[in-house]
This record gives sequence, C-alpha cells and structure tokens, in this order.
Amino acid sequence: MENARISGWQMFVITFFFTAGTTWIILPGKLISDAKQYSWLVCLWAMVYGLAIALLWLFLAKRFPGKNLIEIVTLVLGRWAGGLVALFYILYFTQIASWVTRNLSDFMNISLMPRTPQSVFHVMVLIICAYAVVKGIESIAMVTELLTPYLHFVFWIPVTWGVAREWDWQNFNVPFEFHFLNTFDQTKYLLGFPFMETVSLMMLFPYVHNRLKTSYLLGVFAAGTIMILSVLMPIGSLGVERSAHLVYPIFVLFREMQFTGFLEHLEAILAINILFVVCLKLSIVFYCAVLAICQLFGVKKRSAVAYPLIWFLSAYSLLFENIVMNVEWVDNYLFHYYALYGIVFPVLLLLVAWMRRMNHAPLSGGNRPA
Amino acid sequence: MTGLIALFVVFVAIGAFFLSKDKNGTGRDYFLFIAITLLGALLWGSLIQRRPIDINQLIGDILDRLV
Repeated sequence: MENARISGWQMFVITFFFTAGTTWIILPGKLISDAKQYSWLVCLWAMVYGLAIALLWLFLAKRFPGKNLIEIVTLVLGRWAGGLVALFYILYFTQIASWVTRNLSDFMNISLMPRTPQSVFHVMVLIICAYAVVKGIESIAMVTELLTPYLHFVFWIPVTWGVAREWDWQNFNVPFEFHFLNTFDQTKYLLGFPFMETVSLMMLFPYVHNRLKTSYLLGVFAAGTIMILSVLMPIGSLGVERSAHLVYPIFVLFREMQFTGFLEHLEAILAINILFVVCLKLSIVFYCAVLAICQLFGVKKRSAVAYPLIWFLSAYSLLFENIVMNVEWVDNYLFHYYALYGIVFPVLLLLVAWMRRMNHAPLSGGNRPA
Repeated sequence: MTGLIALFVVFVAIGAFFLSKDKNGTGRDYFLFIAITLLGALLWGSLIQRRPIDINQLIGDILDRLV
C-alpha cells in the first residue's frame, strides 16, 4: 500500500467533491421532473440516508483499523470468497469511473462540442486522470484542496447574484399531489447515486491520520446540502415545468442569468468548473479501482494497472448508446445494484466478522496505515 | 479493426518496454498489464463490430430476474 497521509480537511474536500461530483449537474432536472417542487425534500431524506450508511461503513472500518475495504473483505471472508467479493468491488469502482467519464462526455457533447466524438473526451480525460492516479492519492488530495476555493468562488458569487435577481416564490406553487411512498419509489436512485457510491472512499480510510469520522460525515452532509440548493435554485429561478424538461438546468441558469448589465453568459465558467469537479471525482474513483486491483493481485506499480485501465474504461463508457438509455438504467436498476455494494456486502462482512469473533482493537490516534 | 489491433500491439510493446526498465517489476505486473489491456481491447472490438459485450444490460437482466 502507498505510504501516504491525508489530513482531515483533505478527506472532507475529497468526500465533498466525490459525493457532489456529477450529481449536482446531472440530477436536478430529473429530480424536479419526478418530485416537482418537493425535490428538495427528496434530497433531504437522501442525505439523511447517506449519513446513516456512512455511519455503517465507519463502524465497519473502526473494527478493522488501518485496513481498507479490499483488505477487510479478504481478511473477513478468506482468500477465495473474499477474492470474489473484492472482484465485485473492483467491477463496481470501474463502473462508477466509466459512468462518470460518460457523464462528462455527454455534458460536453450536448452543451459545448456536439461534433466531437465522445470517445475523444473519454480518452483525453482518462489519460489525465491515470497520470494523477500514478502520482498518488496525496497529489489528488492536494489538487482537490487547491481547487476548492476557486471552484466555490466562481460558482457561488454569480449564482447567488443571478438567482437573487430571478427568484420567484410563485414557482413553488405548482399543482402537484405529494405522496411519500410514490415519490420515494420514483426517486430511490438518489439514495444510490451519489450516496452509496461513497463506499468507495473506504479505500482511502487508512490514509486519513486524523478526524476521519468528522471529515467523512461532514463531506456527505455538505454534498447533500449542495444537492438541496441545486434543485432549489432552478425551481426558484426557472420554474418547475421548465427545469423538469432541461437536461442540465444549472447550466441553463448560468447561460441565461445576467450578472450585471454587461456581464452575462457565464456558462463557460461553469463548464470549466464542471470539468474540474468531474475530473476530481474521476481521479478519486479511478484511484480506488487501481488500488483495489493492485492490492488484490499483489502489484506494487500503479502505472501497470492505471494506463491499461484507460482501454477498459473508455470502451465501457460507450456501452450506453445515449443519455436516455443511461437515465432508464439509473431509474430501473441503480438502487438495487448499488445496494449490493453499499448495504449487503458491508452487513455481510459485519455478520461474518461477528460470527468469527474477529474484532481488531482500534489503534489510538485514529486510522493509521498498518 | 486492424487499427485497433495495431494500437493494441504498439501499446503493449511500449508498456512492456517501460515495465522492463523497472528492476523491481515482477511477472504479475506484466500479466496484469496485458490482461487489462486485452479486456479493454476486447470491449473496444465488440463495440467496433457493433455487437457490444453490454455488461450494463447483463446486470439489468440479472436484476430483473432477482428483484
């Protein structure tokens, strides 16, 4: 395992950008379409769910201090069963990485560069992220830390100004009957994406040398808050009907709002922001995938895994023919599929560990690499 | 398809060259490097032949039967 150290603050920004990542740009339109003006409420209960399962993963990690997810799996379930589950997790991480890549190319294709083949975006972004992965998690954490002020500055100042000018409370008075169970069933994908994806960050837990629990939970909480704001802003400014029919309502909001009398069309700034945020998320999940493969197969050179993985990820991200197929898959299967990794396997690990009386006493001073 | 095979050969050759320069490199490094590249190349080949190995669809079908 890499001999790296991540501070609590770095873990917080990593968790925040990983969780918010692609969600705040992709999901608002679909969420508003499914839950109308109550979509902020959906984000709220999804965030509570996200915090609850984060506590489950932290509880699991606390029983095996200094061990990451793959190490815990192989330790608890043994070489063969553990190896199989570890392979499942590797598939999971690579799938998330390829879907994030696809989300980015869809965005670039729909909003900015419609004539460029999507595979060009995939290969270019993946090469950069593979380089980041080879450099290590400390480099990724430092870049995330470095970009945090810029990303917030260029997003929040224009958006606060623009939304304040366009805000209309009447937009929340749309005829819609809210039924909790129906809405819950229609929007359960939000519980999976992004909140169950954060199980990937268990791969980084041993590197965090202080305040792991606080930074992880605060990261999930902050990302949930951003999700709530990301659905409130388009509803308040563009209205429910219009936002529900847009693929990227936040992007349209930036395109149409007037910052001042002469400064408008700020969507280019947002596009760069999205590019940064998605690359950060991709680098993190790519790192988790590479680390998992290296640990399972006992390989020390990350470059021997990271660069060939570009082949696999760039092809996998093309499997959805279009964004509609992607949305349908998310609607029908995502929650159940993610539940396997976010709930079933962790609970299984806790049960087997309990049955085998495996209880590794926590080290003092937080989670340190063994 | 020919281009894909050529790219695969060039990529593996360059990768093997760089791996061989590292004195701490093991056989596992070579094996994984070639295996992952081969998996990716197979997936690319299936896409080029318009008969994709659609893992998403496969997962969907399995979930349809289970849930």
